[in-house]
Amino acid sequence: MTRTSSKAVAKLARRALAAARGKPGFGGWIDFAAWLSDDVLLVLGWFEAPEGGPIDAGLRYGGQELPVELWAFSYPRDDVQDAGPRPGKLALARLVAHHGSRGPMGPLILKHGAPVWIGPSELSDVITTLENFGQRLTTLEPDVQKGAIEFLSRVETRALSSASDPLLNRNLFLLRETIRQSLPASAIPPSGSPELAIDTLLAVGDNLFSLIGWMRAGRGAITSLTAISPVGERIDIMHRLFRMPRPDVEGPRMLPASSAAHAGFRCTLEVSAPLRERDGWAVEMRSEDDTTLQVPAPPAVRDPLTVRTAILTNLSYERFPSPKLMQSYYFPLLSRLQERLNEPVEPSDIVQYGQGPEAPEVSVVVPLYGRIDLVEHQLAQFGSDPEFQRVDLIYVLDSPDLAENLRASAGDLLDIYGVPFRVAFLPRNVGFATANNVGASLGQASLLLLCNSDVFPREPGWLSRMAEFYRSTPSIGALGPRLLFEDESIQHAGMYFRKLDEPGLWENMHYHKGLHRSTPAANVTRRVPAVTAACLMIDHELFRSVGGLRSIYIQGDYEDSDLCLRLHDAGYENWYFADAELYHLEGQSYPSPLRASAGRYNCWLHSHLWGDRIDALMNAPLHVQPRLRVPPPHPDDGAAVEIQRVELRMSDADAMAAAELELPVPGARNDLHCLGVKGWIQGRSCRAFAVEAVARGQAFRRFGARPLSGPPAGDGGSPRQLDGFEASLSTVGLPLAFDVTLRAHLQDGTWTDFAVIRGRRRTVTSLETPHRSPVLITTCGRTGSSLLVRLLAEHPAVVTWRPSEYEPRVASYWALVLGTLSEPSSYLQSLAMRRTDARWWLGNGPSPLVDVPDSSIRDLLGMGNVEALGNFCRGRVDAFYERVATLQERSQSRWFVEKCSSDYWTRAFLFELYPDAREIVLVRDFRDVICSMFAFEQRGHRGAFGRNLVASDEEFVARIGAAAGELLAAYRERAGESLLLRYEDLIRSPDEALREVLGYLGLETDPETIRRMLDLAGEAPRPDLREHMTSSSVAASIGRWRQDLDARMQEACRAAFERILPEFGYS
Amino acid sequence: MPKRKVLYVVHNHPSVRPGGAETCTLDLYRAMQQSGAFEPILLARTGPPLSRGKRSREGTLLSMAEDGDPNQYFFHTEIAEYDWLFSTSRNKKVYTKFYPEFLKTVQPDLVHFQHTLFLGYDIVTQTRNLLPSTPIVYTLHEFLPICHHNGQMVRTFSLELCTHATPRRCHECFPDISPQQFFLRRRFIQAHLAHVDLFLSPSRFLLERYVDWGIPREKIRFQEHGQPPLVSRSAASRDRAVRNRIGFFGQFSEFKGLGVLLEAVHRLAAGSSPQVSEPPQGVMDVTPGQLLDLHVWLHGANLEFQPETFRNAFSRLLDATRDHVTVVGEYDRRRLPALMENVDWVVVPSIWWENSPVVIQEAFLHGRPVICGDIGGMAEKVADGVNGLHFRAGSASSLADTLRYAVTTPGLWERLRAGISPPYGMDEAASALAGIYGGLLAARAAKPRGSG
Repeated sequence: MTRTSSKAVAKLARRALAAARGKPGFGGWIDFAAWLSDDVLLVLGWFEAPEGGPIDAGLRYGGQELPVELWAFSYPRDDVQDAGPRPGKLALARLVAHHGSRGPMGPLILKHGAPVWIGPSELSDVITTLENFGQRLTTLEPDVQKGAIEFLSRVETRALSSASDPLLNRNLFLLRETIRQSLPASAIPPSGSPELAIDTLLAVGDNLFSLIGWMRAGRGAITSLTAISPVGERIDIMHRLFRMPRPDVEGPRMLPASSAAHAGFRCTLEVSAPLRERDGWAVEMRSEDDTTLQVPAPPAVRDPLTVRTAILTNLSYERFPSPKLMQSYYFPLLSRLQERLNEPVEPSDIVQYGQGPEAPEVSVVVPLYGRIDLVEHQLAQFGSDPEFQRVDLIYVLDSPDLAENLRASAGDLLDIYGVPFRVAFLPRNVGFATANNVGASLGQASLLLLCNSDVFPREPGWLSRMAEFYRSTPSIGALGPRLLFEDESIQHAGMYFRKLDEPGLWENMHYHKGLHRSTPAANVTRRVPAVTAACLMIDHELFRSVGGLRSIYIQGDYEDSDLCLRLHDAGYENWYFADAELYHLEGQSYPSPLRASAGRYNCWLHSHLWGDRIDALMNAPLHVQPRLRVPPPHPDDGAAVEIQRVELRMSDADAMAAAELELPVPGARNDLHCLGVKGWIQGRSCRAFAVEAVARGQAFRRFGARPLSGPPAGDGGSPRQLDGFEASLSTVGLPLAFDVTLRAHLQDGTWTDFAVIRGRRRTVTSLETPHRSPVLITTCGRTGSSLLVRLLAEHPAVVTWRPSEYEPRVASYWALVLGTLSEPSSYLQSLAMRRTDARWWLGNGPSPLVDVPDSSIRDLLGMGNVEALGNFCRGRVDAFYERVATLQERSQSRWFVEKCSSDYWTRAFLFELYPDAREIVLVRDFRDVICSMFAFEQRGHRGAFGRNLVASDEEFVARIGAAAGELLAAYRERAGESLLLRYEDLIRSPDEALREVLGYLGLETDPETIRRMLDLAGEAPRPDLREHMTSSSVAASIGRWRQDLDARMQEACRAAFERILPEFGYS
Repeated sequence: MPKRKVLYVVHNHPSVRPGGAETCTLDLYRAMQQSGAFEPILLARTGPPLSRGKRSREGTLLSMAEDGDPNQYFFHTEIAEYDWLFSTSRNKKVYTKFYPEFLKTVQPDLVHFQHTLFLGYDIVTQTRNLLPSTPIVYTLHEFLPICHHNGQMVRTFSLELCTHATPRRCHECFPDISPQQFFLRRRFIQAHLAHVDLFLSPSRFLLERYVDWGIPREKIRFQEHGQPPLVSRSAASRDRAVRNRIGFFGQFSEFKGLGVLLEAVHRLAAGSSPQVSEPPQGVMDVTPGQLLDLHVWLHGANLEFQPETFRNAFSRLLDATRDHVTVVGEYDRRRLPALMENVDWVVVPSIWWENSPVVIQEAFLHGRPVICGDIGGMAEKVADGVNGLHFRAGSASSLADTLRYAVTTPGLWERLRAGISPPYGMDEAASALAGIYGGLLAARAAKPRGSG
């Protein structure tokens, strides 16, 4: 009958047999046993028993005998000699009156006739894990395995139908899967008769099922396939099958030509009325030759996690599932399962540790899954931030099995770290999205921060900065900070979407991921398509109203971008916030073998739901929109400058040994619009000779350092070489909340930062918000700025003055007057002149400390004069604008358009005068700019752009490259506040570009107005403008560099603009 | 006015098991008691693995450490509950129940942590929580907060010296621990140590490593350990024509460089015994037959705590050098003058940085020049050619050359001995510390801290 048997099994069986023979009275032997559930035991061995069951039996257990029902499957065993033909047994033993505990078990006793004792005398000796047991079964002959699967399916149907134990179902299912997957490719020869097998029936919901099996036609083609429900409902499935390869039954000789001919299939089944019975299903197959085959289906698997695992396992066999398969098979099943698995849940308990804050501003929600040890590490960091005393901190425990552990330590953690928090204990695992939603529903504050347990702040103060930004930003949806890996590289700086190779699929990408945190591009707070939910701030009510995170995705993925896209859809904008940094030790939780399948499904679902929206979002011409500046509050406490923090922070300990700052003193409040700095530095291997003050990445004052006389006493070390410095820095033009970094210049040529001064200041002007403010066109020449100014001037709310003839720069002029004369080095000249040339009053020299004996005189110079000067300069600009508006009879106009250079300080002083000024950064493909400049110069305007000042065309291109770099720096510095406009967009779709600009200026953007502006501007171009134009048609001017520039110049352009062009959206 | 109290917290008591930091602490405790500037209280952690004693009481972790001294306590913590990576007790009741009871009753005016091994860093935070305005001082002994490799800053896989810790580098040393865990380790330890008002470092080298690691320079200062005065007579120096007697004092561990020392002796005595471990390389200026006449005495203990591979290598080397090496074993400090008298040179062959080894101070106290590696705290304490000799740390051949030079150069020993100046005394140290404590207390009084 059987030729070979697994050697291992045979050997073990022989040993068992020997043991049995050695103990007379045993009529059989059990080699292995494993628990299938609390009261069902699976055994493998040999004994005499009728096929099927139940057979009466008993089990010695704790001194008494428990009744047992036994079902058996028989197979041949050639190692058992003096027994019947099929002595091998796989049997299922149900302990009828057994409840719970497991203890030492005695022998099994068969009672279908005279009692027969089955060895070993202690069954506990052969208990193994289910996994081992399954492995053991896979060593049996293939046809025995097949029989075993059938037996297990059958026995589940008949014997255990009353037991609706999910654990049992799951174990049986897994056991069958283990055996089935181990089966070698079938050697069943193709025969004339049709075949049909149903492997699995999955109950996804009460009326939704999935059927998985295989079939093969006989002599005639299969004509119909019908599922018959336990209540007799007939469902045609022939036309909803999704085929899949089944090499085990197809065999290598039968590889089908098309996938439709694969033997394997799966389909969804919907019944008209809810159905809770697990068994009784059958499938009927008819063929052309009128043969009919009916096969029973195994009982339905109901446990949702087991069902999900089965479906995902199935998905993992296909690398490129078709959209139709995803849409019509996986989506209905998995979405229904997610609903079942993530049904809303009430916490079983909520425990408050410590005194919760009254009227908290922010609720921080941290879902916990698995790694509850991270709570201690988070609290250790939150504990050093006083803000967390006022935070509504909520942990949501989504691992119910860890509840005891968390309860045991939570009180102690409060005691040690002093941070009050709540823990919501969930009765079952509900997944990332639902856990967050439950936590959010408990939040008491109007702002929410969703925060993962593996996120740790870099330093205190981040949360209030985020909250402040959130509150001051109109139309904000979600706000995400910068997240870092443990090596200071970027984990998250906002998210965008990337097209995958497979059509229609998009994946989430993180900007600048893996780059160092100092990467300039990541230093800009800006709008982004989406932010991560690992640390996401959102208005509580908004979160609730859009429905929170959706649990349609499997195991924590895409919930965040889904939320952000819904916010986007509802008219909100998502922001990346560069001014708060946290570490995110990504991937510390959630290991899962089925992650790849889940990820594939999630990606498909997300793309399916949002593909169109993402496409539009990523292809929008200006997807980085500017943020309108919110006028800063004018500090009303009187101090012109307040120092909040002074920190010695040496960026390079190899270069610098020590430093000291005597001035400014933290907490100092100053009536002067300047800042005195004084201190010393000590280089490690060489002297320092100069110090620079840097704000917003821009050095704005440089002063010398001198050796100090007489080294101060060290603590026993060698005498120090110290270099002292002192200077005063004008604060006019600095941001209202400023960070000034001091940087030493050492003799060996290195630059190293050594101190940071953080403070606040007030503006120098005290005038009301002006009626009319400037719109600055910041650009570099030949970018169509004249066209833009002319177009804008056609709007009734905008004025300008003779732009093509004169290029007024009124605001720039007065801004520089203010900047120059508010420098202490200038106004101190009125007391003691240090230079004797004609420009002495400008004070272009060192800027000493403002050390004037009488404080009222000092205040007059440093505060009174400076503020009067500020008001005066503003007044003169206002007056000019007013005069122009009167002249042009546009007294209601709100904006004056003028050009502005990208110079940092001109713009800084200008925004000091007009905090609500608008800025349009106008760019054009710089290669076309070069062409246009050459053409303009050739028309007789030699020297207009300085071509005559350089030796070669290459050098000229390099100079324009530098100017473009400055323009980029200017744009970055106010990114989010200034509007980026591309010449090409203005030319190609002027309507859209104008709508954008007018929207930015807060003006009406109806098509009528825009049409009129375009008409007026297009009407008879003035001769002077025509003179200005160097390309016969404006549209032809786009991309002209490809023709106009030779290879040499194109190479020069590549070198000059390669880095800059992509930043402005050019390829 | 009652005398102000200073609480010393340390990880072990010398009466349980000798060790450098704990001995220093007890010496300091006694000196402070003598000086009368502060009333010292000692809290010494006890429990396995250092002590064999088991906790015997319910409701307290305390017991008395020294008969007749009401101010010396044991504080029992369980090693099974100790998390070695983060250096914290998983049983948080140690911090929230038992330690507060002690601290609130004793009410010290200042707390000086000498070592927090087996106690956990949480104890610092809890001290700050319970005594918001009490200054906290923390003495750094080795690199434990920085380095998980027993605080040695030596790479696990190559025994190379390590210069700085990053999550990635630490993960390289311990591939089973993720870089993220090491990142959390550093943040966790720093969060607790942030409550310390002043760190003391007995070596400038160590100080710089901690500044690199993130302790603000203004919060750390150099403070040498004091040497207690001689308990009996100073070791005499009998006139000998040849100064060829070498002493090693310290733990019998790999990091203390015993392997290097024995290997060097083996090279000097090559030919007299079969080869061990590796064949001699590099400088071999002693040919068989021209044996150098020298002898080494090894004083120390704790070999049983060392990894088996080291124990085996050690015994192989001992076997090979048995004619030139005598293992004295564990010794009582009171016998030190006699032991010192027996030797001419003290050798400190450590392969890790060392901090401020007590043995160097003791050698100087007894007028013995020191031969040590040229790195870290050793090199800082011994001036090459003035009161001792340096060799290339970790190099057996360099040590062999140096020993040979030391033993065979006439007049060298006398010159180096004359170069030894008296070590920093415990009385001086105690009075310096009293000054530091006073300064911290005065600063606190001027700027009271509201809470935590």
